[in-house]
Amino acid sequence: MGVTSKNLTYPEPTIPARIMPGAIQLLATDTNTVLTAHDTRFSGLDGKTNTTDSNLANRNQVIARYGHCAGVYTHLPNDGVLRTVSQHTDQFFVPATATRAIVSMMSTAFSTVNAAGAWYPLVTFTPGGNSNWEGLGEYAVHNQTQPAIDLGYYACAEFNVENHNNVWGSVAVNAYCAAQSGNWITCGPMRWSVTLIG
Amino acid sequence: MGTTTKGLRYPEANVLGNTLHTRIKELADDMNAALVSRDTRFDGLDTKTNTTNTVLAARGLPISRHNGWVATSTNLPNNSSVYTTHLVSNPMIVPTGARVAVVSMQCNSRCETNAQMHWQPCVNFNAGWIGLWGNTAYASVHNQGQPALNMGFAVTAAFDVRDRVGQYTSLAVNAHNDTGSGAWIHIGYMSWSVTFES
Repeated sequence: MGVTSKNLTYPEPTIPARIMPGAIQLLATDTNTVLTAHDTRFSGLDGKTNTTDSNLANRNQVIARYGHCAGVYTHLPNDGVLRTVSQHTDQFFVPATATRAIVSMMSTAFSTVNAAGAWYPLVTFTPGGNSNWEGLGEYAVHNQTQPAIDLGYYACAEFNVENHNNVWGSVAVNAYCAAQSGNWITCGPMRWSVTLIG
Repeated sequence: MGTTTKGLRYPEANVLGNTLHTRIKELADDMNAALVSRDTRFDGLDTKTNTTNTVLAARGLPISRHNGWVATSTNLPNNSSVYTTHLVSNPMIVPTGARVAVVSMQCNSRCETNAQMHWQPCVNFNAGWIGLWGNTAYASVHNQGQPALNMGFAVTAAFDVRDRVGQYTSLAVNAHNDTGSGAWIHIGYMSWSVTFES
């Protein structure tokens, strides 16, 4: 048997087939040529993506932007109890082709006397805002008896949303004021921004 | 000559080719099956990208980064008029190959008495001003009668700049201080950062 470089077998010219091998090899060679040289799209096919051109056209493209400013549910008693200071449910929609979300959140806050605590800005890509919260980070604050110091936070983080397409997302902030603090912490509005990218 | 759906030629069964015809046809059918259905990577080949892995590997990479800070051009009278507090004109150009611009801006402010205000951080890729907060133009903040509360803002958002390559880029902040506020608002420097991604 003859074998092409792509392991396509074809019969050797035997007595009964003396006339036909030329035609057989013509077919095998045609095919081999198609697989190896005719169309560059075959080249390196094992390493190429199966994603279509239309999908790739959206890759790293800004699809939608959201943002708002909202008040707080509560200020923070100096009891060390973690509370949801501000929650805003189903505020942004993750489009079908989004792959990542850039989320920024901030609040300002102060205390009239010595105070310490921590912020936990959160985002969820689960509708209803009831579960699957993901943190942007933990932001500890302490004004060291300087009431003029801003006890707020600013956070920015990026999330993979490939598995959360076509759902509404929510933002929230949890926080506590340490029991050793001299007074409640007064929280300012929570401001947020979400950019969805393909 | 017979021809498969992919244009592979094979001999017809005639007197001279009776013996080998079946094997020729098998070879053609095998190859046709490989091209049509054996390997799903062949499916939709016409719509698949011809973009090389090298190019795709560079998608989403930072191309250039710019940053700086600028003093305020005005503090805010409590008259509800909208003022441009900060303007940074043409400090950068959208580089070749840029698809996304990630823009961060922040500044702080305070008022010695009760005050409420609105911020509008904006970016301009030489095609009109765009707010960083997405679907709302302004972000409001109230110091609730507490002079120590930072009334500033910080935000990060991303923008589609594929059609803005080569264009100058500017940043600005607009703001107003409500008529009902007790005094002017003092505004700090505006710090900014812009990263262009491929």
